[in-house]
Amino acid sequence: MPTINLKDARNRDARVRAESVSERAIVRYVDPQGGAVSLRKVLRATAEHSYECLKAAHGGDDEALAAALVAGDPDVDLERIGMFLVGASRVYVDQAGEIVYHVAETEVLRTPTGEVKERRPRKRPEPNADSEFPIGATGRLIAKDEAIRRFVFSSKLQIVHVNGLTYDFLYKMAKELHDAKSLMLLGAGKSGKEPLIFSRHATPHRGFLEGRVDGDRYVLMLHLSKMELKRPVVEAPAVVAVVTAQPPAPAPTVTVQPTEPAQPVPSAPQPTLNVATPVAAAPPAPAPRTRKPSVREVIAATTPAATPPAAAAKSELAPTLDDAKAAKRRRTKSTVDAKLGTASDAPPAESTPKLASKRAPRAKAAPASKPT
Amino acid sequence: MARTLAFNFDGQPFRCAVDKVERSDLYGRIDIEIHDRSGQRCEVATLAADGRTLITSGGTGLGYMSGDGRWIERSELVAVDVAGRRLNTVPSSFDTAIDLDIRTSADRFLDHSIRSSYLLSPEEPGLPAAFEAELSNGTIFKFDFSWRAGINTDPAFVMKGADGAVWMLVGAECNADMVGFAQAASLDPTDDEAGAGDDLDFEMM
Repeated sequence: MPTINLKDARNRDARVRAESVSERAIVRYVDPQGGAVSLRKVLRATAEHSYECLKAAHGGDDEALAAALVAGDPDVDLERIGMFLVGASRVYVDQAGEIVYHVAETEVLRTPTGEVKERRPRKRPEPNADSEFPIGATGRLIAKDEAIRRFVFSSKLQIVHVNGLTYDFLYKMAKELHDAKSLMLLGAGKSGKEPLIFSRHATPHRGFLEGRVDGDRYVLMLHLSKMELKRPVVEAPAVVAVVTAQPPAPAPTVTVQPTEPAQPVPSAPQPTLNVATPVAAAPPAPAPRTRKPSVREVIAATTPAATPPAAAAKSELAPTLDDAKAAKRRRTKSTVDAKLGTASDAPPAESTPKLASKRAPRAKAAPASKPT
Repeated sequence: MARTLAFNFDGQPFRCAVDKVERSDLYGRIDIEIHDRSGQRCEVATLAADGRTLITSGGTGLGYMSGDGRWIERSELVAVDVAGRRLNTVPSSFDTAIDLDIRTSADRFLDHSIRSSYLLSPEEPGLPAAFEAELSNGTIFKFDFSWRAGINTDPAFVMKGADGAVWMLVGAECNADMVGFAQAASLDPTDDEAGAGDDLDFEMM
């Protein structure tokens, strides 16, 4: 059973145990006489007795292989077929049937319809349930009745104390959740929002903590979910609108895409239909609001080539912002001048060659093609 | 073609088509491709313990052996409980009408791990109005379900999801007990042999 590092709402953390609560039906199978039977793995065929190998051994000729099969039993190895397989290993073989020792693993991400979305080197998620960053409450409470209708809880673990201190710690958490009649969404990792991973390469799960108390006894249950309870998106063919009139803005097709989280994240109910809404069927766009032209727009319209297009596109607040920026520059300059003892009444753009020379190397040092 | 289940609510029969919804239906899936150094696709095979017998896909089988080494056909097997008592078989839920007369609470529902979720699509003439009303009020119905005839049934639930769809959820009951002060567990790592992965099925993806 895993150990988890759990944190409460007051950021007190402790390592506690998570125990399995699954019940296994104990059913045995016996032979008709009541004798015990055992399930064994046996060898049915080897690679060297496969059709491809046998065909290659007969010169790639099906007729020759058929003749050999009639004449003898080249497809059966009486020494090995039927032997019990114990301690077998999983290996990778290439197209020639040779064992490969150095392989590269690639993840092929497919959409629900099977289309390849992305190819990438295989990711190996590391466990985070017992890491230096304790699993903690995200602060998001979900009513039980709502949670069971939004998530599929496929696994559960019971959180139990390991000593007296952790008993108090867990009992208090259970009591709070019991009183709230809700499940608390847990998060892991440094950000405290990541899904829980209990073992290496494991599928991340969202964890929801439930508490119940009865006197001085408690149950703290961790419900794990890896999918939401919602109907799959039905892919509908996109309907391309035939636009006859000149629209004010290009909006050919609006496709409502469902969110596809790597893990179910609690959120408001998402639209599940993936339909393409043609422009013709869409409600008419509201008429653009009319307003009085600003002074800047009037000047730009009446003064040819005086204002670059980008400046014309600024909002009405631009002059105000420009003034504020200029005032800030003046204040900064006067502060710097006061510190350097170079106070001057000259305008900022024409003065401070010292400052300008200081700024220049910084601008030069900035990489032009730095990836964002 | 989805299979259909027959239900019976308060004397009113109705039928629903059953469509299984899995994680891959919602979020897609991840396939793992293995390539060697030259970029050639590799396949998984089994190497027997003798170190020389290579077994490709389909080269192994499972069989039941009696104590004296005889091969036992599956149809000859008899299921018994711990005490050796022969277990009765139950019919498939698709062969009989399911009575929806047991209501349960959210707390009891949370005592179960859900293994499979199925979307129920009512056939004509639709759900009975009283049943629809109960579902809309948040009622959860419980019954025993068996996909194919076998020796045991699984607890199943019918309820309305947050998306308004009617769902059938099949799972297994968990045995979580209240624990008191004296029932402390151990942090001893030697207890970890079983591992959580067996229960949680974390290797699915």
